[in-house]
Amino acid sequence: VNIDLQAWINEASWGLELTAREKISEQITEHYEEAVRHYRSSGLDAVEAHWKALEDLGDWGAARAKYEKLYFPVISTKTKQLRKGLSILYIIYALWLLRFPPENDKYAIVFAIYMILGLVFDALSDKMREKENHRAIGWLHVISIVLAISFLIITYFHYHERAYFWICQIVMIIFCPYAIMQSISEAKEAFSRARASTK
Amino acid sequence: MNVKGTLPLLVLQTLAQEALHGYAIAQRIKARSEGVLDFKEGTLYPTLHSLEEQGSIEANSIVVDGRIRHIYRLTDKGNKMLEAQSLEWAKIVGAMNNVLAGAK
Repeated sequence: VNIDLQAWINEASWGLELTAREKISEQITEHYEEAVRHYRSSGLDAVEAHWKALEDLGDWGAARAKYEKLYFPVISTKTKQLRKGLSILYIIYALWLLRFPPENDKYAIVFAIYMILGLVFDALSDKMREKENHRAIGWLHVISIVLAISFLIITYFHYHERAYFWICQIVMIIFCPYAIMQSISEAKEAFSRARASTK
Repeated sequence: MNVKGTLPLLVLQTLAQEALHGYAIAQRIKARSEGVLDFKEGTLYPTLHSLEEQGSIEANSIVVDGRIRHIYRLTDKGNKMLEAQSLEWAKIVGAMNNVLAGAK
């Protein structure tokens, strides 16, 4: 498969599950080959036929929009961009906390480590979804649940006189149970999908 | 021209005549409409996937000159869907014509 066609397929099927991506790749490649054959037989040279066939496929964005409706995407383009932006901010903040923990407070360090772990788990989970490894996704969520519960306990018992950290703690006390509930339902779904795929 | 939402009906009608592969479906629609209904071929496959999932069409793989080709054919369900959608489309066209005739 040539680079231009592969790029079109990658963009059109980006973020979809592996089986969907394989099917799209197979069909678009077949279509492209037919188109090239047709243009070659009508007298165009290989390069012209290649570009005409790619032009006929049109904008990958339009195809992607349709594929996203059809197959549940691992993650939508907008969410991915938003998360990428937030992740960069989180990493900068976490590194800053690790380097300069306010008054050498251990909570700030733990907070930063959990933040980084959360991002790593998100990235791993996305990777596993692309590979349709549901069992791995399930276990990642189980580990996330354990981490979130431990962080919730640390947050609950930690006292800091700085109002700034109070706000962080309140946010975490609200956010952690929500994240735990979310992870439980996603872990259950991932394990049931893993069971279904092994049957 | 690409009238939004009409591609499934066009695909069903094209496959009602004979079983075809994806590229041939696209070419057939363009040729029949004398180039008026021009759509980007990359969007044909999501429509084919969707129709296949609904059970309106089915795909069979055959080997031609050592290459695997997917040939799509209409199912009974697809035939019924084609009839229903054709009637609906005729109603829309009739209604549009009536409105446009009144506007002149």
